[in-house]
Amino acid sequence: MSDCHSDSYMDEDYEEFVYSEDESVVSISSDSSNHGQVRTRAAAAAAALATNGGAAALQSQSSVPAQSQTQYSADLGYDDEDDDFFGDDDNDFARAIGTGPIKKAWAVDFKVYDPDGLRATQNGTVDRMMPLLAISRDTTTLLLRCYLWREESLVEDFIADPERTLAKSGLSAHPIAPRIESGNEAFTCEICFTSGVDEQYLGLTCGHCFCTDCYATYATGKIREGESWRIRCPAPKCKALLGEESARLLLAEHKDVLGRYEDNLTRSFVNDLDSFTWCPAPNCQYAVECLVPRSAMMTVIPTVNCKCGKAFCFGCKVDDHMPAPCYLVDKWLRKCKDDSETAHWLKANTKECTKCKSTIEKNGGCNHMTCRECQYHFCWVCMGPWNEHGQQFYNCNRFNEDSSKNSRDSVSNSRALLERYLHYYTRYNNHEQSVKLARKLLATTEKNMEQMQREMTLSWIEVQFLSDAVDVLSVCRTTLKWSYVLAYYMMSDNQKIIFENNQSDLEMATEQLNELVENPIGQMSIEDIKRKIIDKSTYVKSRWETLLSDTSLGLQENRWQFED
Amino acid sequence: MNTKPPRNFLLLDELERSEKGASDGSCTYGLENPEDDVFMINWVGSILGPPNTHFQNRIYAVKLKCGMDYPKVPPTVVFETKINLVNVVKADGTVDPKMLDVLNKWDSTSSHTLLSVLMGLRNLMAKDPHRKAIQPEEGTTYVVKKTDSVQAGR
Amino acid sequence: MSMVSKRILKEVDRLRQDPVPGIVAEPIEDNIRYFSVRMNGPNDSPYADGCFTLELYLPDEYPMLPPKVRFLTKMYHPNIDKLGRICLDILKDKWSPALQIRTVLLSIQALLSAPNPDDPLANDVAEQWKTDERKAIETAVKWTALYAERVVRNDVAKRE
Repeated sequence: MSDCHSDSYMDEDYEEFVYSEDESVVSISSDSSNHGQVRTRAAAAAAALATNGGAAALQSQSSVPAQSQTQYSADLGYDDEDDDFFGDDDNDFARAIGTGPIKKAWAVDFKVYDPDGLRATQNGTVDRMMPLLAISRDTTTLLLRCYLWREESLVEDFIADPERTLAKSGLSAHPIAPRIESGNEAFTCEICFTSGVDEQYLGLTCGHCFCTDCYATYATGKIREGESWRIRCPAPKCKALLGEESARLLLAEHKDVLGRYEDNLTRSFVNDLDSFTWCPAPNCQYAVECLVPRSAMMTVIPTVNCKCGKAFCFGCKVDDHMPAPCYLVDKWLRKCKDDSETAHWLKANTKECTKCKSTIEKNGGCNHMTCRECQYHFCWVCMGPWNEHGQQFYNCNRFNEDSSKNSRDSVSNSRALLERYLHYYTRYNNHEQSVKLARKLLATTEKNMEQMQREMTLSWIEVQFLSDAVDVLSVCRTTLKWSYVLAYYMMSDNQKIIFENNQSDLEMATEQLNELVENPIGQMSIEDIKRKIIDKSTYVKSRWETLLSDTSLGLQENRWQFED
Repeated sequence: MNTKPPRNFLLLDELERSEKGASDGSCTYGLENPEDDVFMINWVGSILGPPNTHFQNRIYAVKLKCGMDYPKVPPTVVFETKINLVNVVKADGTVDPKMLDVLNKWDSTSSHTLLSVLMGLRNLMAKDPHRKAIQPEEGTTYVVKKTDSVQAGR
Repeated sequence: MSMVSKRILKEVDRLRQDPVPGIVAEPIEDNIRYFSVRMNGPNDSPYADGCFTLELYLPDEYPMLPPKVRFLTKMYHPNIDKLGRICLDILKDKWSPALQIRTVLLSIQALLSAPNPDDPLANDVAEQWKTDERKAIETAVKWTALYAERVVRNDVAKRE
């Protein structure tokens, strides 16, 4: 795995293992019966990305079980042709959904695991390491956990000095299988001070024995606190670890605690590995594996799609924020929080008609507004007349640096900076609101679809195009929203103009599609509407792909300068 | 045989909770003189007036005293900031324990704490007839009697 | 409950039968879980001439959870705060149920000989300890004389 980690364990005393279990992660329900078959994964994932200019270096270390996992690549899942990505090619990280053999430039490889899949992955790694280390299964598992599953550094250390490697983790090479004993007259439990032949007791490789009651109470307490493999012998300063076999032996009577223990083990596995993360959706129990290293996240945006439907960034856990990279997203969100007071008025969902001054509330995602009072057509974003926004001219995505320069001469610099920020914020916020409205729109759309089905005796499949179009709208608006964050930090030059052209193309196409979807039933026949919407959706999708391909390549090539 | 947590450790727990910020911020408390009060006798608290009342947005400073027989005997409570809480707060700022449920039904075995005393006072402020009672000018205080700091033997 | 009580009774018994030199721990009043402790400062420390009072309480979960202990005598020590609260690993995350009142008290006594200003509870004291250790030790000696009971030792003559 990554170099910066491989040596660190060497110097660490056991005490320094960090207790990283996070109470906030969702708990995983499980049973322990699932032992997946394991095959070694080739470095296909790395190869796949390497063909795209190789900027996103992937690590090729992992193994995958043959079941309980779903492979995806981030394409937001709305492409439809030949995408058998749920299929059986489970040795590799999947290619982009529906893109056939060609991988999209922005897509990263990832896998989604359910709790069984996670357990199978752990078991698989243990199975593979056991013959290599030639020690018991329990000890192999503990060693792997101590090494945070960094197989290479474990093997390296173990080959160099097996005794030291084991001792460091409080383990011994040939432990006797844990056994509950009794019948020892000399035995006294150092916790409850009970002694005698009748006492049942247990000891780890360290030889510290405690009665099974005390031991179980102790282990239960630790498990309730969220611990699992880091539970140690109760003797003061003893480093011996309570292995899984011993834990199962002690807690055989306490099924609920044992279940919690298994959950904690899985949770710790995901938390201990940089290449795994929990899906941030509430109550989602899936975890995602993605091999994009932290160091690449300045230029790669590792967007992943959980099986639950959530699209999020593997790097920062924020919802899908393509095409802006994590560090700009973080900067922007903090800025918005700081500036929220100033920008607050913008959030208000009402504006005045520039012509007749009546109050207008935006109730759909489309920016083409028509004043109910005076029938004035205008653009919600720039408040200019809509006819200037026609097919050939769409310009309200661009901040006019020249006019802002003029204003810099007349008003204070800070005022101009605020105006610049507000320009981008308005557009960012507008798309954000429109995504929310798109959800409402979906409800209306579904009603329209039902109506169509009834009135025109169309089948459900035939009217599906409407909700597909709304999906496309949401995805594109999300991308547009974050494209304004990218643009805000992007220095002005010719490369930015090219980016803004792409942005403008996508924005215009999105607005047109939005308008079509919002007012579908007019004089046109249903066939015409359907054809128009499908055509427009296809076009919007192609604009979306162009923007994402271009920005992801541009980021990797350092095509743009960003202010810091 | 008695195995209840003794006074000092109860109060240490209370202090720890306040240090960790256990409350929602509407009531806060701490030791009046943490440098030199090993028996944790004198406490100060503050109550943020509840919304939609005449107490709204005002901060009321309160002194609480936990004697050596705490928690058997409830703390005494005195307002520093002038307040109009008829029948509850006397003319000199002291709280009549009979008029505050937490103190009147004080039970040393239950989970009554300094925070629950402050919250109890705040709840009273939010209720009729106190809710709309005209309040003294903001920022005025009772004439401070010199606190006879209890010096328990070392 | 019975198991724990048994342990506590045994501990009390052992403390009485085989007391730790320089440390006396006795149950307070009728509460079996509450102890009054008197501890002599370790010989080679600024606290050598003092006898310090502590209180100790065994919570319900003892020995799965550590005892609660604090000094009642005012202490000048980087790991002891103004209320006598003690920062010591075995009283927190390094607690082991196989530790006892005896071992806890010995560890506290050892902490008096070996202050750890890098993990402070009393920041001002720790700062003084780091910038001017000689002066810090002087203050600790002064506080001991001021607030602690004086210990009459057999070996005083020998030291002088």
